[in-house]
Amino acid sequence: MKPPSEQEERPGGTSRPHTGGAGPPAADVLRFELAPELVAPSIARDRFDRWLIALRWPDAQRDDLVLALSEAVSNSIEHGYGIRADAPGLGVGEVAVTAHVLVEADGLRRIVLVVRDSGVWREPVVPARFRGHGLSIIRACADRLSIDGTDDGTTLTLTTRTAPAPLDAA
Amino acid sequence: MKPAGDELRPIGGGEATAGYPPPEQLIDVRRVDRPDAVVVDVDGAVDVLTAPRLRTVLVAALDSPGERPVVVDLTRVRFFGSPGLQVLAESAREASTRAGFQPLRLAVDSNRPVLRPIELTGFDAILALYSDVEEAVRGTSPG
Repeated sequence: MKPPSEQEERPGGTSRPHTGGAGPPAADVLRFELAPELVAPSIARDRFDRWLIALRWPDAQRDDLVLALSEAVSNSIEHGYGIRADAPGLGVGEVAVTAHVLVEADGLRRIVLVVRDSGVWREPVVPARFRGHGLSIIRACADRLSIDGTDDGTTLTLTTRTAPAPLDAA
Repeated sequence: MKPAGDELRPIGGGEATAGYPPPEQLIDVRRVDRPDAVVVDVDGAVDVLTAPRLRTVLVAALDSPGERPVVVDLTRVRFFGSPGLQVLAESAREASTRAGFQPLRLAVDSNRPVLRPIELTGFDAILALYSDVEEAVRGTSPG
């Protein structure tokens, strides 16, 4: 395995707008892509956590979301790309993470988190890829969850429960 | 607990992608042999990258001579994902097959990053949880 300092970063690969319309302001969107390596979940956790802290997201929900993201990225690495400690992979493909804030009419906020990979390693049928406890954890941390698997890869979309509007006085 | 502001770091510009620690620095696993127990002390993050290291140390600890219990100290772990749960489940099963059966004992106190995934997956029903290392060594129930 390559040392993590060589972890390649490819920010801003695709930049399609999210939900149409004007789109949220820059600070309300997080987007990055990681090479499929075993270190990717820890990098993803670190970036997502910092973004959530900057949004003043409630601590308990923040921990759950970071956990869910880590499980989703791990799943892409292990089952999407077939990477293991003894099979470090060929460096092909990427795991793309996008998160944005949805503000509802009453000011409550949600986060929509999307984890996309282009891995088709041996297990293209989606439910089979999400064995074990990772999916239980992701489900428990989500209000809504969809997993869309095709021959070109898998996209996981998680919508959180609501969080209060941030306190301006903080 | 620290105020959240202490942890605010700038996002966006100036991010050092080369600044991520090597995997051996994401986790620190130490084994302490005591007369009454083998304590495996874990610090850091347990995930798909680092869980194999925990597994290696636990397998060796379970092979220790004598019928001492193996205690895993998770009170300083700051992240714990499903690969860590898998290692704990395997080790608990392995412990149950040893002569002079001593269940694997986990010290977790109220450390939410560890407790949360254990509870979300129902592992709290099958793992022996204690609130600190001494309690785990004695095998006294947290009540």
